[in-house]
Amino acid sequence: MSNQDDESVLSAKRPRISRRSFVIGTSLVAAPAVIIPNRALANQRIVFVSYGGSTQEAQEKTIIKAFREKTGIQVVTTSGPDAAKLKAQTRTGNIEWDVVNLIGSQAIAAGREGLLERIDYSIVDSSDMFLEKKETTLPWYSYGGGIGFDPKRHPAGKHPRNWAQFWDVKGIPGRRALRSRPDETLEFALMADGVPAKKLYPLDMDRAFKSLDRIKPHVAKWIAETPQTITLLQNNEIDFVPTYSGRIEAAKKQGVALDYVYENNIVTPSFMCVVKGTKTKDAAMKLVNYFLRPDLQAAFCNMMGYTPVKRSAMPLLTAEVRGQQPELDAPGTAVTDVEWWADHASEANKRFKEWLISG
Amino acid sequence: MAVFLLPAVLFMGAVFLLPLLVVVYTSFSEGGFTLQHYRELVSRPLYLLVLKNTLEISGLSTGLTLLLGFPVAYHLARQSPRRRAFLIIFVMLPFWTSILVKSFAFTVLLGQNGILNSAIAAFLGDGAKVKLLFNRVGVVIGMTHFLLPFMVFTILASLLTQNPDLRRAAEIMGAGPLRIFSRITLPLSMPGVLAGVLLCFILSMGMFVTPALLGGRTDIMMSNLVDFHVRETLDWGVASSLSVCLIVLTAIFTLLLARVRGGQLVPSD
Repeated sequence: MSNQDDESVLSAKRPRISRRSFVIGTSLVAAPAVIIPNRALANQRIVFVSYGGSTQEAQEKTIIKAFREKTGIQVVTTSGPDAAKLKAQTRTGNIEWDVVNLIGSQAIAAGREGLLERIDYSIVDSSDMFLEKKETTLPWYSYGGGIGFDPKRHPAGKHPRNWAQFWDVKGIPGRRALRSRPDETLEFALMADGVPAKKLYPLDMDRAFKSLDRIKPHVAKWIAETPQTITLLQNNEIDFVPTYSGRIEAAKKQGVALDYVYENNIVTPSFMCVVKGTKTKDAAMKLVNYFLRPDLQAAFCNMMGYTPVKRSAMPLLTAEVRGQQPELDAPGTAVTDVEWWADHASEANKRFKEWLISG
Repeated sequence: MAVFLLPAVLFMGAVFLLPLLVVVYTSFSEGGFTLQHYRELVSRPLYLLVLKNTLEISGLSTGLTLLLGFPVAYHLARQSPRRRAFLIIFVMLPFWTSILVKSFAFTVLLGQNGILNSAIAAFLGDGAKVKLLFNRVGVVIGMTHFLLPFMVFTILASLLTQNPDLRRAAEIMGAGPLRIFSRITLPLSMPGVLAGVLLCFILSMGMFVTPALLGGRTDIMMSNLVDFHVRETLDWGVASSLSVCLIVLTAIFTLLLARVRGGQLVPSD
């Protein structure tokens, strides 16, 4: 096929446009889209990545909707944030994401790898927060991990209310499950052994593993995937399991009568991050600031049952959602030290897996 | 004719070979050339223990899949084409459900309070209950369930290429069904069996969700560790060295099998 044929077809269809102006015109329109898609709509379009499902839906209905209406900046949302994908994008220079929601130590690890921009605190209002802000990562809500159980099988008084009781297999009989990963599990083990929730870090690993040795023979299942914490409770395969308040409340809404202990929780922050090399940095910072607005925080958390990071958002929560909050300032509530985990994740995981696999 | 292979070669070169080379390169580099990622693999017992597990689980599942799959393939091969097409749907069923959903179903079926154990308890009492989940047994059941179609189809393909005249000739010469099977059908199906075994073994070396969902605390697989290093610690050097080891091991296994059959991995006439 020759070019001549193509051109004659085109000119036949559009007799009024000369060949030259057509070629110039189309290349002007198409070139930015083909060659540099990220710059094509600079300052007007942000790609925001979050965890999909109901969380993302709630983000869109509250925070992103308000941002779009007020600023006129377009926000494209997509799901599946992953530090590994972020690393691949910055490594190849093919930046597709601008603002990313990352949970726990993954965010810190991404920051240390140089994958994130510094948060511009002249745009982002970080006052009045429960949790500490970082250079490249900004906590915006948190979620609690604690003990889940079935109230039909274990009514009040028959289930553990804290980790010491969870470890007490004689005092409170029932099949235990734990997670097959060290994060949170080591913290639970230390709290069970009497370490105060506010003084967990730096984690005393030797002591944690000694504590884990005590419960090891009584663990019916080491759970890798979070959904299984719910299904195994539901199927009567286990009785007590570390899970998340959001999962239990979601199950309740679907008619599965499980329950959750809001005492002695461990709270993990969820972070807003701006991707290094983004072409829409200012707009991205503005969007991050919207995630911190107390009224929008409250609107989002009312839908999801999470804990807002702004203290001033707390009074705006509904009574029902306020009843589903681990008290962050309470002495029994631990807050995950994501920095410690970013430093020790590799070593802790290897040691934990070795411990799990042997004996 | 070879020119028609070019698109496939280019495609595989771009999407398979090139990334693979990058993985090999990453496993040896950290600023410059280094062996530190491989040194890490022998520096502590974890990796060897997990490798042993991976081989055990893969071997057991592949073996069981063969034992279950061969009779199914043999039966299918003897049906009329129309009936076979209908029955094949049932072989493919396990493909159509996600593992999370399947693990839920397995719990209902095999759990301590599952259908099977409830039936056992009803007839033989509570003491006779067997632990079928969250241990090696659960892993092998789950993996076999996943692998079965791969084994059945590979063996079936090889059984269908057998010349039926051979069997007829043997029959005329007075051979019984058992003898026909052991002297003709089985030996001629060996390339298919080996291809099926290889396929299933390679597939199971790379699995980790099924063992994580249905296994006990010792059922950690190599891919699990690769996933951890890629996504959690962003240590792609160690992740790559682990992957390279897995690939090399699987390649050695493939070559050994090929040698046993004198290089004959596909049915020939």
